[in-house]
Amino acid sequence: MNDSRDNQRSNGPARPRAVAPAPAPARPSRRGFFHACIALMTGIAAFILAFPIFSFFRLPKRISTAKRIEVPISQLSEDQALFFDRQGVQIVLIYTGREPKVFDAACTHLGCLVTWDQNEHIFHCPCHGAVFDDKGQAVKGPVNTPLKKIDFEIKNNVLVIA
Amino acid sequence: MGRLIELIKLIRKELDDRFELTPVVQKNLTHKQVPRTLSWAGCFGGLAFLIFMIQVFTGILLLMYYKPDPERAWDSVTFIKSNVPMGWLIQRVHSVGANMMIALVFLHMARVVYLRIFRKPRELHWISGSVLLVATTMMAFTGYLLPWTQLSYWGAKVGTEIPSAVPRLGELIVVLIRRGQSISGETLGFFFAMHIWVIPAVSVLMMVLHFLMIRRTGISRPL
Repeated sequence: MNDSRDNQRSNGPARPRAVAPAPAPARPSRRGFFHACIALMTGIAAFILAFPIFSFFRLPKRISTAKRIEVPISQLSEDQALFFDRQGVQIVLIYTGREPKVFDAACTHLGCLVTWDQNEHIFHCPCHGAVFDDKGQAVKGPVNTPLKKIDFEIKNNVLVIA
Repeated sequence: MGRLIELIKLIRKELDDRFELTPVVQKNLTHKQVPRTLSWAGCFGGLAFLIFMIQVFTGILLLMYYKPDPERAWDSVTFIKSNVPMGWLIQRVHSVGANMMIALVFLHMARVVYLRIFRKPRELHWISGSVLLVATTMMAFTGYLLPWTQLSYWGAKVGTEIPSAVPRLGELIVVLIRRGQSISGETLGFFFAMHIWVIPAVSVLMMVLHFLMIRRTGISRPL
């Protein structure tokens, strides 16, 4: 860029400023060819470097927690809640009125895990105070969807969640 | 492809309009001038810096999965090597890179000694370089304990036993370095903190000074 200082310099003929390398010329030339080759090889090298790095950020294989959960009925006691991790999903098994029920332990409001209150016979969510009864129905709090039910079977006195 | 080139040219033009970047890039990168007499041994310092940057980068990737606790450290490294995609590559690059760094700083130092570049006006280059040598060695030492293998543990035990030879203060130094009487989880945590933050920060500071001074005094030429 030229400025007023150029007129005041007295170093002799104007020195050429550093110029950008010649842009890719209109007709093919050796320089353009070499520029293209170097750009291509740099691109290949960049891809070879980038590929493992991007791969690294993919999720690793993890040993997943079991899908199948078995609980002998004799192990269940009245008003007791058991929590399990089933492939990353927390589920809760309660036994009330001699009847087991299995729910997804995530509160239907925003997903915090509910706790079971044995005395009050309810599920209570510590985050925003949601309350569910022992059938999973929403009783109080910022919820109107019941807890999600999980299917289970009872075979040979063993409760099986497949 | 043509449009990509146009885009690159547009970015260059806009940057040049605002920052006059092209002369800076040329002077320091693409058209950098070095003495005609500089031999291939003059590459070692820059290579050490390149490997340092690779170590920082692979180190950051490893840090995403490493757990600095005696119960979990070895498992986390094994997890990286076996389960994380390309984890084996990142871990191996970091491990080999550590060896390369030591080799390169020694070769660089050997060149400086042989050609006596440490003389005036470059004395401070030598001093900052010595600090960098110690820092590099400390990085290798602290990093080696982190995978918590048999070699790591016993190597750290022997290495941290050495200061006990210092008269009077030796025992105290050993206890301070180990954060206790023996190598433990406390030692691992301490070495981990040193390895990922403290020594790299000191290294970067010293490198900045080292490079600025070299710029100012110029690359040394034979007399």
